[in-house]
Amino acid sequence: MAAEIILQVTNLVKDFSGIRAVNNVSFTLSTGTITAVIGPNGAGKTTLYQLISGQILPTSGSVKLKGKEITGLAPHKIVKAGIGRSFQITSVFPGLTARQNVRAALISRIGAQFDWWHCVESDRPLNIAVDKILALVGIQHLASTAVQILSHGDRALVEIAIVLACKPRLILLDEPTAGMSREETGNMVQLIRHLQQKTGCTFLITEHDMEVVFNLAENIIVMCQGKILAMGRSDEIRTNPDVRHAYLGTIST
Amino acid sequence: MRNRIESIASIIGLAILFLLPLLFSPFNLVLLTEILLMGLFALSFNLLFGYTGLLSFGHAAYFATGAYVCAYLIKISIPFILAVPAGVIGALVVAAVLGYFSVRLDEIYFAMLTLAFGMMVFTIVFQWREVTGGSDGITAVSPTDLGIPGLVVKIDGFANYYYLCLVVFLVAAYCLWRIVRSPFGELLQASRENADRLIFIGIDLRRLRWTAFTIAGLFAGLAGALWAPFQRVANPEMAHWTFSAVPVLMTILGGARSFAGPLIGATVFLLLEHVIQSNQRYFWQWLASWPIFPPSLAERQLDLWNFFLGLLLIPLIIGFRGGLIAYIDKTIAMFNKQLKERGK
Amino acid sequence: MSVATFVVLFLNGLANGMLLFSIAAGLTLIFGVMGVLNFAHGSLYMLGAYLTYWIVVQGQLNFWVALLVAPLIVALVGGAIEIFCLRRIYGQDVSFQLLLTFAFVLLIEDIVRLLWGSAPLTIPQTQFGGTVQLLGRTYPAYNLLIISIAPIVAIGLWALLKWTRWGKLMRAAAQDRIMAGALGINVPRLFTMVFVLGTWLGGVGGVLAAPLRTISPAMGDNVIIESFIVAVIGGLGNLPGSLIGALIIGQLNSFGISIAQRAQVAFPFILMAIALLFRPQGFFGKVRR
Repeated sequence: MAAEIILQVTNLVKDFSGIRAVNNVSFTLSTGTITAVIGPNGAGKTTLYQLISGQILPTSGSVKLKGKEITGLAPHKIVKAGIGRSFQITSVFPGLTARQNVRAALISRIGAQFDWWHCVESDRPLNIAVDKILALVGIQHLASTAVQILSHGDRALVEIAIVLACKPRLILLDEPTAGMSREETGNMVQLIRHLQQKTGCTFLITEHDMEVVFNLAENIIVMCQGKILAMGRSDEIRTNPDVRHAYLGTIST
Repeated sequence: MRNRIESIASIIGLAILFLLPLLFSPFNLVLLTEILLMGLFALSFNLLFGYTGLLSFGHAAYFATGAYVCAYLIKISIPFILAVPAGVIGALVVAAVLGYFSVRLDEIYFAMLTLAFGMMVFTIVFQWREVTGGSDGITAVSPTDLGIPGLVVKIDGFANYYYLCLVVFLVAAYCLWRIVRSPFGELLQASRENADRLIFIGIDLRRLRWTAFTIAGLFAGLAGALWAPFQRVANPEMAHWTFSAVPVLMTILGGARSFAGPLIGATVFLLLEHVIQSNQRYFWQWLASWPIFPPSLAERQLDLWNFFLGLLLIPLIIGFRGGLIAYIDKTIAMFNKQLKERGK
Repeated sequence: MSVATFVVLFLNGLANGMLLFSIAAGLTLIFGVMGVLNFAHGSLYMLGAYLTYWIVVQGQLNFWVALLVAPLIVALVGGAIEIFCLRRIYGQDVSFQLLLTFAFVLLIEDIVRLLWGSAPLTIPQTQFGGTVQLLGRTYPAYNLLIISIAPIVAIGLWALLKWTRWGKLMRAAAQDRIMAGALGINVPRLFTMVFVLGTWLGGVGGVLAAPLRTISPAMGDNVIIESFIVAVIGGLGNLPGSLIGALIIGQLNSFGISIAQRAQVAFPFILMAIALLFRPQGFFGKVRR
């Protein structure tokens, strides 16, 4: 079990005008695993995500990616360091086509953002790489469609394709199945597992749907009121009487 | 097939542009030169507005910087061929400095900050009389020659200056066209669609916008640097916020979401202005024939161009967001469809 | 600088600032509640000044009639703009709302030129007691009139917002526009009211300015910029802030000339830029999360 540690969060604290939204949170993630963060609304999951991805600065504590300190870096630098994320409210480039969406991310990754001469449309290697990512997520047939007219489920897939194009080592997904039908949810679970196997990425997922959590995650972190209530392997958490009592309540699995 | 049609069309278009001086009177050449330079001004504005999603209400500042630097240098006998690039560099520097601060804000706050900076530049050119000539501006800017040593290239006369502007315009428009199709341009459009997402694909949003701002200022400066010798003057009006509104209106008129929109907007804007201004006396005569209309009003024969422009803009802004170019596109699409059906 | 000079400059600045407040208050009210930056505000102010000329000089009526009637006409125009045009593009990009109001700048200016001509006009100040003796100097009484009228406007506005139902709704909407809609407030009607009230204030400013300034179609172009500055440094949408902002700009204009003769004109713009960059909530606004 000596898997390489990719993310190390140590004693992370975030205060919002007197309210401790994240309270002394420490955990590590091993490369290639899927970990779920669960907890009731207001448990601090979203704040934790914002801290890791650099949207807000922690009051104290540190975040290390592959042993490198990333606390306090600007969000775009954290992306470059290897953390990609999705948002609870799907965040894409609505007026552009799916291909353009992914291509923008790819341009960023290859560092061509200040190339103002070459034509993107006729850049074959670039577009082939884009098509590959679209195919990986299974939306190659939507490449030329404007994202704003896609269904919610398809937009979520475009967002994941954008995240993948940044070639992250760690992917944070914020409620990837929120607002999806049963069928779409099932597809999303399969996709995440498929991507984990195919790319070897590490996933950190927040999720309300317990079925999805137990289906996907090897490890689970339970948060409550800013603190970590419990963490461990999925089957341990499932049978942990504290967690059952405090959070899962009457949910039978 | 479509590509071939397009390239043939553009070759014919270019040929016409180059042959126009043979057909047209000097007055019409003035109008054409105006269209070229204001078109370039509007294109540079739209790099920020249509592509990056930032509404600058102080774009005249960079146009005026280009105009003033160029006019000043020509007045102290620097050759035209050096004065124009110097104007462009001046605009670039001013845009880089003011842009550095402006891109910290967005939406309405960006518009207001650019407006404030624009009016700051206006105040400077208005007050710094020793260099800028105060409210009169720098007058009698009339270079006769490009000023390349050992080579006589005349630029006085309407036709010569038209050719000069045409060449510069084509080069500049081609550069802008490359820019909006480049990776950089694609990211600008992405930032317009969702700035937060752009950050989370690893882009330094401010730096990207700053670069766009500076490039837009550079091309505005180029238009201004050619405008001053063309109008023979660089005056404070060129820096006033009401002048900043001109490329905004042209772009809305033509359509912000396509590359050629601002250009079509500038053409329609200036042609309409010309047509309305030279024909409104008939309108007044007609009004005067109404018995209820006070003759004293008709006698004034005011210039009503702004009135008609306002009337034209209101429905465009409320209902027809694509501008005139969307209308043209629709017509072409319909035409194509009919052709296809006939083919069957 | 002698005491008398100082007092005169101070009073000039106060009158200027008070006048500016009654104009900028309307702009900032509209922005605060509706999120619309009304470029036409300066033109409506100009319209108010022309209506004053029409009533006082052409109609030979009392100035108080103008103060009563002209702002109402301006408010009617404002209401028409809101109901027939602006209302159709709420919820779309704010840039287009701004551009729509700009289209009205063009329209109103030309209509005014059509009705009154392009040449600048003036209203003789004789109606307002001419001059008074002040510390051995003659001082225009009209300035003192402005200094006393504008606070009445400010207090009236404050009372309106504080105690009436519509006023409370306006403040609620300025705090949180989405919430206001969710609470079941009739937002379209509220917006119309706000726009009418805001443009009415612009009209009041125009009436008050008419005897003081040269009346010309372009007089709105400068005032709109000054009002922007006041609204920004006071905090967009913050009425007490814009009062302080207006008084500062008024004094800056008045004293600036004697301190830094030419750079003075740029001070307000620099102040505005600093406010926008470092305190977008304005110098006198609370940080709203």
